[in-house]
Amino acid sequence: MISPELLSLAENANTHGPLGPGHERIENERFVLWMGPRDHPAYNVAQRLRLTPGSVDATIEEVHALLRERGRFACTWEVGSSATPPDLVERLRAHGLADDDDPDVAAMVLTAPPPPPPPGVEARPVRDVDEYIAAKHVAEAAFGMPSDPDRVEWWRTGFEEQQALGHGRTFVALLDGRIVAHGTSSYTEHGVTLNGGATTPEMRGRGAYRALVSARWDDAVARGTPVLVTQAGAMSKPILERLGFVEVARIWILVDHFTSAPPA
Amino acid sequence: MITPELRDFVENPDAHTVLAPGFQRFLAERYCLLMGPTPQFTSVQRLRLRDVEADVAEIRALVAEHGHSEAIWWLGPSSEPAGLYEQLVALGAEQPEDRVPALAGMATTEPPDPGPPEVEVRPVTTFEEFEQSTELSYEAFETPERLREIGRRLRPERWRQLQETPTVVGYLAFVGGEPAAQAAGVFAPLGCLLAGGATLPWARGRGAYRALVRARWAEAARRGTPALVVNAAPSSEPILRRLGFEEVCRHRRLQDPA
Repeated sequence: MISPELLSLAENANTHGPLGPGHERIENERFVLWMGPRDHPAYNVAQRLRLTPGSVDATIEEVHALLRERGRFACTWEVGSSATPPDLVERLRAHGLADDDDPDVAAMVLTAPPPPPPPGVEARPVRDVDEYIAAKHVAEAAFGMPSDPDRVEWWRTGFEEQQALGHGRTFVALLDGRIVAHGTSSYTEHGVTLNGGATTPEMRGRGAYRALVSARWDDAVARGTPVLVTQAGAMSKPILERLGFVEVARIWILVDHFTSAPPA
Repeated sequence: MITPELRDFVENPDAHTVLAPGFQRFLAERYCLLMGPTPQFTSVQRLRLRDVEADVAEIRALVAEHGHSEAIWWLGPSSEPAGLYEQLVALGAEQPEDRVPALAGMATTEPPDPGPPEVEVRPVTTFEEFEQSTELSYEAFETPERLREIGRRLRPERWRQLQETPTVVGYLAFVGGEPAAQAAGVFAPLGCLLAGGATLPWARGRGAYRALVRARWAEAARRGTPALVVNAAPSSEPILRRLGFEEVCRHRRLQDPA
């Protein structure tokens, strides 16, 4: 049985996750606005939306104002199965918000051990900053993210913060001694959220993704929270289902770019 | 065992509780600002200020912008920078109106002793019981009339919100069939934060407080989070120690007059 807390974690991961340096979270009855370290839709997320038809317009303006105050002009809106009103996606679209490239994701939960990883694949937490950077290169290439000239320095800082804070870990999968896949775990009181599952394209189909899930399950068990939670797009959902993950909610993702000045 | 997470829960409970209807929370690296259902329900915790004057101005602006006032600033052992208490005083913060300048942050992960069998504890389930419970707390805590009036005015709305908040449970303790004490439990992912805990003068020393603590332990254990944390006034510290609570930290409190 999925508890309300676990359902909320699956549907609203940023609401429950630990805050890192430069992060901020604003919570009220109508929304949670999580702000990460940068002005990018992926790092500014409005979720756990409990609006009424009459409060949608004002809430959009309020979220924009909060972000503008912090020099940010884009965010993501995650409309989960529990969001209200029921036609919120349409109402947000009417305000000019656009569907994400992969807008329909499944909130998935694993509460039993996944199958063991295939032989020949080693999956484990990164051992040092060099492995961390190698893993981030894999993720960057796999996700097709634009290459930022400062990224390596940024990753170094990220590794140091991860080590110091203990809020989560970065895992790698290795084939023949080479890092071929990347995944992260973030620790919450209700379970461990998985993000960033990415495999080097030519190494797909050899079990690296499965091995990463298995390693992070073992880590979650060792922490005393034997629950994995993740959001799955079209590509990862079938694999996760085969590993035992169960869909508990759907989330529709919209991207919101707005101007620096509020409407007149 | 008091884990580091539980320690942080004791020192900064507002950063850990599940947000209830009527509440708003701003959680950032430098502070946690919680604004509750009444304008005076305003607290600032987990202080990691960098530029104290600028950060205080930012927090004060947020408080004012939301129609709140009289924020209580909680300073614990992990508050930063050193000397923050004195700097806040220099910026106008004062002793709290509730005359509680310091609290002991305490916790237990072991079952406390049960109360005496003649004390009956029941969760508050009706508006009448809620009314009874809040009036009892005003009397026991000698709440200033000004704050009682605000509380009474907002009581129906507060009751509506509480009914939608399974993580907050009010309790009444009865001695000889009469309401004698009240308390609340705020059930969070790491355990239960004890709130309230007011006993009428005639009922003191008859086990109502102990029975209320035990009732909240039972509920926390039932929810799979067997830990109790509390920020205890000096008057409650001895009984909590006898019930097995250990001190985790000391808080100092200041109230912003703005």
